[in-house]
Amino acid sequence: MGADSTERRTATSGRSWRLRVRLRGAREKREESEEYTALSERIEEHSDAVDETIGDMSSDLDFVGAVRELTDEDATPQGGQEQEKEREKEQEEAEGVDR
Amino acid sequence: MRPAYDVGSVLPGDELDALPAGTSLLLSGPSMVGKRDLAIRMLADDENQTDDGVLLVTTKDDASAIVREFERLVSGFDPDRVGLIDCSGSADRDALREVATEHVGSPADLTGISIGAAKLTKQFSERGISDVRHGLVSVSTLLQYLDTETVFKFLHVYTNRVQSSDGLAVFTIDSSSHDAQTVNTMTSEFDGVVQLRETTEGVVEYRVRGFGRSPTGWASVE
Repeated sequence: MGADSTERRTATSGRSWRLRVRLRGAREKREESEEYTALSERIEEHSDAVDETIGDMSSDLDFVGAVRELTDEDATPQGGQEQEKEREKEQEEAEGVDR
Repeated sequence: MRPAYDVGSVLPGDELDALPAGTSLLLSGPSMVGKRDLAIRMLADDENQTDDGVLLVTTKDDASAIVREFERLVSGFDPDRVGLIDCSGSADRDALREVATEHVGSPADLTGISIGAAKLTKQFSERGISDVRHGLVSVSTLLQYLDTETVFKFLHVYTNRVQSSDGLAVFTIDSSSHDAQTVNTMTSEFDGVVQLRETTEGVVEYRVRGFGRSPTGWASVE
């Protein structure tokens, strides 16, 4: 009797543990999925915003211009005025690449 | 305009036989799993001996090390088809006379990288090479120097340029160096991703996601 009762308790506790694990898994999946949806939306908004600013990318010069714009926008430290002048010179050299 | 780039000889399955012109592919996996080797082999397409140009941005290893890797991995290595943008900060600029190399002071200098790419494309064009395979090894180094948003925007601009010029892009990211959200954000800029992993038995496996197809299962790269 006592042994049966212990086995039943063990089985019940095993089922309830598995159920808890499954519930937790389902909850985590739902949270992950919500997080993923939110992330996808943010990425899409981001891409649209960047698309608006980069414009046409049919030449290397447009590419350089677009990268330059985004680095200026984000104010990434890229050196002083001397380097800026050097950059302009280099960009001029690359000009006419595939216009 | 060419319809597609052949990369099928690199992986055993037929998931990636030919990628349409303008495609951007990300190789994602933990460190030391072989992402760089795979990228070089995809870019050089050794088996098909194509005449495509290879423009590779190296953010960590210097240009000499990359040339050695090309020599090791690509039997028909043709230095005239390769252009490198070395952002490693290496001072060893004389070692590479045979491969066109542009040096950029730091991986954070994205404008410098874009100018280097424009110069090398011009050189390719002068040699009659119009189809270019672009590589960037590795996005992870950019993320060490720049914030996620700036890198994301840069990848967006770069992959747009690859698409506009009917090129092919093969970039790498060390998935173990960043949180899942950062990796997912970067991955979203690519048409597809080849994920790599190493099993406990030491077997390197890959699976392909994206490209508008169902994800594949894990399979050995051998």
